[in-house]
Amino acid sequence: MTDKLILTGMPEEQNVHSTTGYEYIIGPKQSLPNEANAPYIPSKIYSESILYKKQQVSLMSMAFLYQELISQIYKNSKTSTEFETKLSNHGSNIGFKLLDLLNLRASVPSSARSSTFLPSNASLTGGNTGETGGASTNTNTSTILTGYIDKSYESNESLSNMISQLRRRDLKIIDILQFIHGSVWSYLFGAPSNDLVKSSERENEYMIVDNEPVLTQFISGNFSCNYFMCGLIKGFLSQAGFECTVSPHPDVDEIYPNRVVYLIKFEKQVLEREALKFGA
Amino acid sequence: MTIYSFWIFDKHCNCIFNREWTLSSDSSSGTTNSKQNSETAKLLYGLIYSLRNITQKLSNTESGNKNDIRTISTGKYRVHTYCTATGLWFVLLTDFFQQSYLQVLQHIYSHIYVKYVSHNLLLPYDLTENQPILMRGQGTRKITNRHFIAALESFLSPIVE
Amino acid sequence: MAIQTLLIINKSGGLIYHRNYAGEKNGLNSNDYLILASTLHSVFAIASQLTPQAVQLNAKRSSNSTDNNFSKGGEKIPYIPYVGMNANDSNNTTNKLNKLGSFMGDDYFKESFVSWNKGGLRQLSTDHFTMFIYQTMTGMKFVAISSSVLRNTADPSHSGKSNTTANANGIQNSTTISYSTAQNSSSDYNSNSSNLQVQIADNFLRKIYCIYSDYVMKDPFYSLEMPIKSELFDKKVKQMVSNLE
Repeated sequence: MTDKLILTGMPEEQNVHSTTGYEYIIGPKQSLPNEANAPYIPSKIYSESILYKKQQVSLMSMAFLYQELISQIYKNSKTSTEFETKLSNHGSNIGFKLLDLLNLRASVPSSARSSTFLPSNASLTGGNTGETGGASTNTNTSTILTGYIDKSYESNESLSNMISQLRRRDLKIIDILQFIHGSVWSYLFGAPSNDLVKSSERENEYMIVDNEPVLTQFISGNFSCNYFMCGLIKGFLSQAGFECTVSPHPDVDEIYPNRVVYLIKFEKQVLEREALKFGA
Repeated sequence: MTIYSFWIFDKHCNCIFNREWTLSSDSSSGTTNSKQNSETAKLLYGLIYSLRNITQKLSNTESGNKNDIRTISTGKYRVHTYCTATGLWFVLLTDFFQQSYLQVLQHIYSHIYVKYVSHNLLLPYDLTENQPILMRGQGTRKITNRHFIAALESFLSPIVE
Repeated sequence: MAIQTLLIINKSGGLIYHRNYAGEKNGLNSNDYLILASTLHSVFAIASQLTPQAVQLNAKRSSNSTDNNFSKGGEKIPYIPYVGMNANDSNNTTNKLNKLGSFMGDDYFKESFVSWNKGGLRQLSTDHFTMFIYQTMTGMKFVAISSSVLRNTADPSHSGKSNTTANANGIQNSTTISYSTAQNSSSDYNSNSSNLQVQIADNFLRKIYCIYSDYVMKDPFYSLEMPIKSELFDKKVKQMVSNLE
């Protein structure tokens, strides 16, 4: 998309190769495109609607990113506990934010979510705006940009209009676990988790089962890598007021060689609170 | 089907005969006995020698019979080999059209080489026989018998194209 | 085509993966295999040096025309469907999505591909086995040793042979021509089956490469150029090898 933008004020030689990406013969480019001359295009992230829409990330790039995260943490950790804590912290940061985002999204009535809103608005059908903005010449980029920002303001308004009543916070353990099992998992991996089980032995233990963990499916022999998802669940729950600890456990069989059980242990006070409020 | 070149190596790693065709359309093109000392001959010998080592190691030694190379294929050409019990190697470089030239090589050995070289009393049995030990492996002597060359030529020329 | 042995050789000639799938022992220790790998690696380079002059001349001449399958980028290998894939896979659709790691669909790739192995060794057939080599763009080599042996001594060639021996007393032109025509009739079958075998092997080894790209390259605990120890990789490769039988 930056073809035209690079062309302004660039040395001849780089123009020749600017379109083809990484050149095997030449190696990495010496300098970045001249950014001073390029018009400022605000990132789409800021003006995008937070309404749910289907977005897919390449599993390959996700796996590489995750791999790099793991090896980075692994290098900087002295003990395995330190490694697990660090990885878990990365996950919980995401968990914190997901609580707000997904609750807001869940507030949008399902009829509106699948309404004409999504396909009709150009700024929402991912990637399109970026391309049109980049392909245009420098002179009229600004006009397109303003139009594009206006549009997204509209879409933000319409999102708040669509919510008649905000979703109420989950107060029961079983409710919020259902939410993780369904909404959070669907948001992250496109499908609900494989199972949600209550421990028969201990009151405060619940289990979320993932037959084929997406993030760690390529990692062999080191089970601690699942602490990222544990951290995410933990962050989500503790932000909602359910203090707990989460740990991964292998549950391997013939069909699912990677199956993971996330064991959630709630703190005592969470159970006490629940007993007081909803006690039978 | 096309053949590119034909080589005979003796048991001292010498190339004792070679014939190369440079134009696949012309069976009389190319050179005879010009590359005995060239890098090509040595590389070809080395290639087959190393691969023979590998295959003989890899094969099950208990089964008794030796595991010999038949063909070696690359992206561009195919090498056919035939090793006789006396340590001679007959090597043919061809295209991919045909899977095996084993019969061709066997025929060359049994009906051309044996007839014109082995049965020829004037040629030494071992071409490097009288050489000093240091000169071995240098490929100084070669088969120049014109009957042999003529017979080979007439046998191979229909296949060259 | 049963795979007996699978080797992976890194770009500097080191053996990084080695499995024997045939039960029998051939008495080679791991050191022997290391030597074997580096020998193969060097022979591979030598083989490309030996390209005959006639081929080079031909390549120059036909670089303008695009009639044959040796285009500029190298030889095009056709896609052969579902090599090494589980045959009764279509019944279980439940876990299909995740089955091939980061690859979508029910096969690792579905289009023909250009061979990166331009002048190097590709196939080695001996009395006991056939060895196939697939080279990647980065110079890694995937080597499969298959138990299949050429059936070139079958009837049609024999008839050609007896033909020559009958007339072998005098080597006249007429004999050789009849010989070569006899060879001609059998060669169609021969060349097709051999090329098909190479193509199957290339397809198969390319899929191993796909598995490698998932389960080895995306393993944070794997260091480049080092021996592969991933159990998941082991399992997936073994499964594919057994599917091929």
